[in-house]
Amino acid sequence: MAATTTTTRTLRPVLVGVVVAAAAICCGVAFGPASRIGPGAALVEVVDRIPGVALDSGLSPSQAATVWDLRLSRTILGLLVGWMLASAGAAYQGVFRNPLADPYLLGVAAGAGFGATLVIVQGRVGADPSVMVPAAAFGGAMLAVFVTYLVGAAGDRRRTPASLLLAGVAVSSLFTALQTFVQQRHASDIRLVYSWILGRLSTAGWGEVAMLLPYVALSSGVLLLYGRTLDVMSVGDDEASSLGLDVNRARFVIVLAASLGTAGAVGVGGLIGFVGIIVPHVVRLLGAGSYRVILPVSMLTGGAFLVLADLVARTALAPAEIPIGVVTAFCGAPFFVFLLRRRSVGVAT
Amino acid sequence: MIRVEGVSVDVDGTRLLHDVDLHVATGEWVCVLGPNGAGKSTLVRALAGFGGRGAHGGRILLDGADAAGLRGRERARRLAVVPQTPVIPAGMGVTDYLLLGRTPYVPRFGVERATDHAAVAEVIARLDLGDLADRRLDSLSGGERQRVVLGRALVQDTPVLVLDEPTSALDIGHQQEVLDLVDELRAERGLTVLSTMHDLTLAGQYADRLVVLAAGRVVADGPAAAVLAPDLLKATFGVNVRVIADPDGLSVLPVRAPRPQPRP
Repeated sequence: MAATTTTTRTLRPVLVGVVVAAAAICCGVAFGPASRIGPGAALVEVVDRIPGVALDSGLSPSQAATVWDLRLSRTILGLLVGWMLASAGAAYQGVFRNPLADPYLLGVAAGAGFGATLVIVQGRVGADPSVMVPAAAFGGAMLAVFVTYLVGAAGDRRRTPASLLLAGVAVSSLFTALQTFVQQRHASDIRLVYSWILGRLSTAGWGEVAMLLPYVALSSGVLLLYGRTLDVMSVGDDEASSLGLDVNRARFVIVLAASLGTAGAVGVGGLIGFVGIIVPHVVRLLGAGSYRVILPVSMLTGGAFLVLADLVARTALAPAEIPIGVVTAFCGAPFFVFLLRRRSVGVAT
Repeated sequence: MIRVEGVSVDVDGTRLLHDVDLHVATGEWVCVLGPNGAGKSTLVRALAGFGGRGAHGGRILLDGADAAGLRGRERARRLAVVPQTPVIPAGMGVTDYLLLGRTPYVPRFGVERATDHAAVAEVIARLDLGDLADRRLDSLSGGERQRVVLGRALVQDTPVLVLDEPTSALDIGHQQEVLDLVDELRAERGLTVLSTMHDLTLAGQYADRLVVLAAGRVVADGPAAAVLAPDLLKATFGVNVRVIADPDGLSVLPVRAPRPQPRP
């Protein structure tokens, strides 16, 4: 009986998350700056592409291509990036037992920013920037996390969350300084660098989705497997190890998986802030206590949140686009204040 | 059941335990006493297997097996710890918290099975936690919380229970309640108990044997009648006491040192 309740308790919020994500995808596809495509027709067009379904959306071939190759691909990309950032944020918060942890904590953002800036200012090299920038951002992000782990694990004492966090702060500062230095040396590219840093999901086709999908799949798979482990870690390192958990190894695997996915997401989406902090907390505020619920629901609602944020970003001032990081921060900052003012935040500190 | 042989622990270059020998027989309750900084918590940490890894000499045998050679899960099936100040995860429910005690039995990426839920249900019934089972941990009182933490250790279903200052956060009534409970469980389940304690009287009343640590060394080991002596306590704790024997056991009563009389 108890076992069934556990399953129901996990299943119901996940189903709600699936519905929310599906609704967000529908919105993402239905609305866009191309006003001559009706919302209904756009949805019919997508459904028509499902094998075995034959519907007539009444759209011209070029409109159909707009819906499929621009709107849907961008919507799916938003879903993946939000999915990844939110679940990585939840994992970081769990691993460090710190409610203010986000996926950029160990230097992912600063490292990615440095990598991307390097490539952007070298833009004349001629390589395809839509491939090179994500690759460099990814590389920079992983390098920063690697250095953080190396520094945080130094010394004769065991790796504590605090020493890793401090190392993350130091490494972030270092990479930010390097990034700023490179950027200042190439002042003409500041606008490009800035637009990358503020985050954007502009795509042309499915290339970015294909690029990101393997990382998200791998990272999410590992994180979902470690849901119970994250629950055990919530009693602190000492007690978790007295329960038989190899805490340092678990933390390493979880941080590695979360950072890998985050690096991928940052590579294609830029430094989109707040998703990784807010979404897991909203999920907790709605009553989820176990990471076996928090993780999957954060993935789904994080994806949905970013799809909707991107919808605002590309339609509010159409044809101009607002950087998506501005939209998420605009929603996120007030929420953050609200969170800080609450006396009990749903993560042990 | 527990055999500590010549264990020394260094932390950051300071020797906190010197060549400690300690033995707890199966079913016995041994209480470790000592002033602050004597090494009680260090001893508990060494037994629990966290902290100071590689920093100690000597060895710890749990039921005949060298603890250093045990994997975390195997050790956690033999020895459960009730920490002095448990970390209480905000927002977690009591039942979910108790289920964490099944960690050494749940497959690494698996879920709790019927036996795990049954073990939790049994402990809930035994410790009268039924009314608390659906509550959140952060809504519990200190006494309720201590029972739940003890419950998690029992759910671990180990032959050895290590209690680090189990009563330090409790009022006098709850202190007695928790210690009575531990003693009953010891009899029912044949548990071997090692605890640290500050209250000398309670230690003498509940433990079969008392071990006194001072500056990281064992300075006394024996039954309460032998260990709770004013001279020994004066030497280790620097305290003036009167030990009162009555049919219920020994009471250790701190008394104020005689003051020098002011000159007329």
